Amino acid sequence: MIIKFPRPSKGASIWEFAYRYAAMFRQTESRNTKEDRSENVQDELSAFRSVTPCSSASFKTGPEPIPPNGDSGSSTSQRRSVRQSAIRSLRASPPPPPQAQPEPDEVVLMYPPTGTGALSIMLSDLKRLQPEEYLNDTLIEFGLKLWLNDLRGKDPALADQIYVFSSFFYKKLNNKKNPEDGYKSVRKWTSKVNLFAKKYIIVPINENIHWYLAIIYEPGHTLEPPLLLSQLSGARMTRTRKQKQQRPKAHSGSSTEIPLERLSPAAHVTEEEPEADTSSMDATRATTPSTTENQEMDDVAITVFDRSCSITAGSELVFTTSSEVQMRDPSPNLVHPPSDSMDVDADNSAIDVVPNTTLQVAKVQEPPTSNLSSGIPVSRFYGSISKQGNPEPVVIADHEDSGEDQQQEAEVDDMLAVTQSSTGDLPAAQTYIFTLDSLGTRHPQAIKVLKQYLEREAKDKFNFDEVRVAVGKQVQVPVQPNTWDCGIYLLNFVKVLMSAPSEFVDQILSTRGTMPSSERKKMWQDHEVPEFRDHLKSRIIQLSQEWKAEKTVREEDVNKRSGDPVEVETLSSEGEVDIVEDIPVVKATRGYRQRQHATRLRG
Amino acid sequence: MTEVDSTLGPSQNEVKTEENAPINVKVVSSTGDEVFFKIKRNTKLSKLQGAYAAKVGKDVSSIRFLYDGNRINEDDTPSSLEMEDNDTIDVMVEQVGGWAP
Repeated sequence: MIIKFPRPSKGASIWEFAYRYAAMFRQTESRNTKEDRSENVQDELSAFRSVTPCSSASFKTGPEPIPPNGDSGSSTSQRRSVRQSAIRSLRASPPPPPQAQPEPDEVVLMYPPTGTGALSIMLSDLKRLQPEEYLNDTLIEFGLKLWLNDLRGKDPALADQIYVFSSFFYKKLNNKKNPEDGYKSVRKWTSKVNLFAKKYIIVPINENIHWYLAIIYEPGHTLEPPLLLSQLSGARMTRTRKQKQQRPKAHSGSSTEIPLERLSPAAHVTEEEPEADTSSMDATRATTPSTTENQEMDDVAITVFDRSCSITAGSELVFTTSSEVQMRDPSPNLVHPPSDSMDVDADNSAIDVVPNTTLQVAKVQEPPTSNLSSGIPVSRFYGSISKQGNPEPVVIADHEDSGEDQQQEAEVDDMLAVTQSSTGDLPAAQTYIFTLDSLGTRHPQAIKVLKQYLEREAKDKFNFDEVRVAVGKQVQVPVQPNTWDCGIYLLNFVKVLMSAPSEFVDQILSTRGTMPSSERKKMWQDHEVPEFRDHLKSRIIQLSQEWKAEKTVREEDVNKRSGDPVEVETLSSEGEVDIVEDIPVVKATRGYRQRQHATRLRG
Repeated sequence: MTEVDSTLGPSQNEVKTEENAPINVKVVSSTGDEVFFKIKRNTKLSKLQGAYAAKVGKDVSSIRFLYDGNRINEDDTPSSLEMEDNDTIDVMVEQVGGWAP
């Protein structure tokens, strides 16, 4: 190799050039060895395939090279795996050790050992439990099944109330081009189960190389009659009028020291403006979704959805409460719009600032005898006298959360307040859809899709035309401190939540404002996360030993009895699987066209 | 219904005729591509999986076959899963997750 050095002017730059070329050389070399290694693994794999009898791998696997870690399939995931391995090799300066000698395709465990829908956990899956590896669908589903099975041993009644969806359920359901088709593709998945009789439906979701969780709580309420219009969207229409009715009542119940005249002007301004905003927002809502529907949860879609959510469920009661906070407080710097107007106000800065300021100032100036200003809805406050002397702590904003999160929290709190107002002190029973994401991301699209799923399921299975629409809420959970543990967090959330589900649901529903991260970590037993991978791994290894032992016994059994099933198979081995027709959605690639004729494969 | 009755017939020798008659199965990918298979009722679906993987050029371990949301395993057959003619099998690509970049 001839390296032509540019003529250096100083001695220092010669050194620099030499150093740079040496670095380049090292890089190329390491790249070459890496390629060699992956080729070797491929050779090993194909050799393994050609000799393995009667397993699914005994078929010709096509021209595409098998990726060494077996975690790719489509071109996209291949790209991802390349990127992941790039990330990995960047992280750890010595390159990861070559694939271990046992084949990654080797099944280490079938779980559960009996029954349909068992998972085949392969060696390659087990490797994903090493630190910093991303969990795949098999491990997520294994973790959920294992946990549910453990629970069944401890509390069978509770286990019966829980339904766990496949990690592919949401992927099939969330058909952005045609939601109806999305539903149809999973319609039969629940043909043997009545979802509405369950209490907790667990939906693991994978989007953008990230795992998060949705939990549908008490789906049965979906089958109840819709809440009255006045309780939901109608509230907006009559809000101004109702406020005028409500306000005197609220004031008569509290010891207001501030003269009403002083407050009325400000209150009027803030009341009227949201109405105008709302109508313009409605117009936006009607047109925007069609343009954003096909996109992957972009910002526009989020805001639009949020607004539609907050508008329909906008509550006058919370409105009254929060404006009351201001009315009761004489300090001039508190002339903010009432918190309710945040929902319809397009100005994000207002959303970010207002609720905190209001709450914090309110706390400072809170009279010891009253807890009205701590943000508890009026109805709730009057309903629960016991809380009067023991005010709920006002939560100061946690800076981990964005203003949007707070906005959503405020919205959901509003919704909760609506439901509470509808039946007096008790909340009207509603289905909730919780999302738990260790990145703290909100998932309005998932909530919408699952809401619609419940509606379609009610229509399909019970012929209900009208349902009580579910309410979405983002649950405040600990944030993952790294880029690879979201799957582990998902599994931990399920495990922790279901250790005392009703207590957790109560706490989730009663949480107002932002919870400090230390509290979240405590609530969700964050300290158990670091050991989770090892824990899962040891469980798999333990179950694998049992399974393998049983399998050997079974195989010996089969061998002893002169193999009837084997005979059946040889009888029908000719032409067992025929490809009849091939309808690709995308234009057929050349490879498809070549094999367009019916291919006959022998078993 | 008559077909179901006939599958209940216990004798192994009669298997060949009615019970093992081939059914049509549609394999649908997550992108909506469809491949139609004809498969005998007692043939292991792992053969269909292998055939499909070969056809689309993917490693079997990187894709999942689901029937009504349940994973199809090596030993499952159309008859063990009570599949019917013109049923659909979903084929999904492995999902991994760490974070959203």
